[in-house]
Amino acid sequence: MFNLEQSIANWRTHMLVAGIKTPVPLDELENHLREDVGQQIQLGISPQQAFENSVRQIGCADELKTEFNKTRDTKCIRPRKMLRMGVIGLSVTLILNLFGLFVLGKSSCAFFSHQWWPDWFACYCLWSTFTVIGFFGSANWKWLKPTKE
Amino acid sequence: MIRKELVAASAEPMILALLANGESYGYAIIQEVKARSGGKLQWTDGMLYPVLHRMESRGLIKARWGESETGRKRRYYSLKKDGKTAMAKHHEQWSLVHSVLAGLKKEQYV
Repeated sequence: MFNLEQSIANWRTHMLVAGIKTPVPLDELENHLREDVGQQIQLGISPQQAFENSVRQIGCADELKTEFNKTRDTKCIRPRKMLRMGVIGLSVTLILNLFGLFVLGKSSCAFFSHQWWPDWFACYCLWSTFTVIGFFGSANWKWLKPTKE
Repeated sequence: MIRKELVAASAEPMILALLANGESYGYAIIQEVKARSGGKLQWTDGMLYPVLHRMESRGLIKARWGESETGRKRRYYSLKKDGKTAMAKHHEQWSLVHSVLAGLKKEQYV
């Protein structure tokens, strides 16, 4: 006796084993499968036949994995986002730095004081790097993007 | 049936144009394309999702989880500003290809 829920669970396991491990694509594909099966059942097709048709139409796991991997390869931090993060990071660090100096009166927060470097240098370096890469990248950010689509 | 290379090349402009009419989700996009092409433009259903995810990572479209009528969660896609620009470019390029082909065909009948 055909059990639709069990078959969908098996199909999901098969996809997972094949390498589609991230939840978003898998959930989306399962929703698609359920919707398609439901539509076919409404048209009078048996659940088993509808399930088999939908699985065939969705495609094989290996091909899907290859396509989803291409998506992962194209994901990179876009320069504008890096620039924004850099500017925000620098601003927050500077505000904290000045807050410490003027409100809390901590000398270690003062620029170029003897304790300044270990406390703040890493932060400024990190956000400055983001800002510089983001700035030049925004001007011509193709070099940061993978060329292969 | 349309060749798979052409189907693949037309996927992005097709999705952008469909989403320009309002947000939609994978299954509805496929059904809409099938209906509008009279079933001649057939995608392997699963292959739509990597394309959608690539477009999302390139900042052309955005996605949100919502609920279907049956209460199941569903991922809705909508167009972003960069997507509108990309759509305009696609439209321009496809129109050019179409006009060149139409011009050449016309010459054959003169």
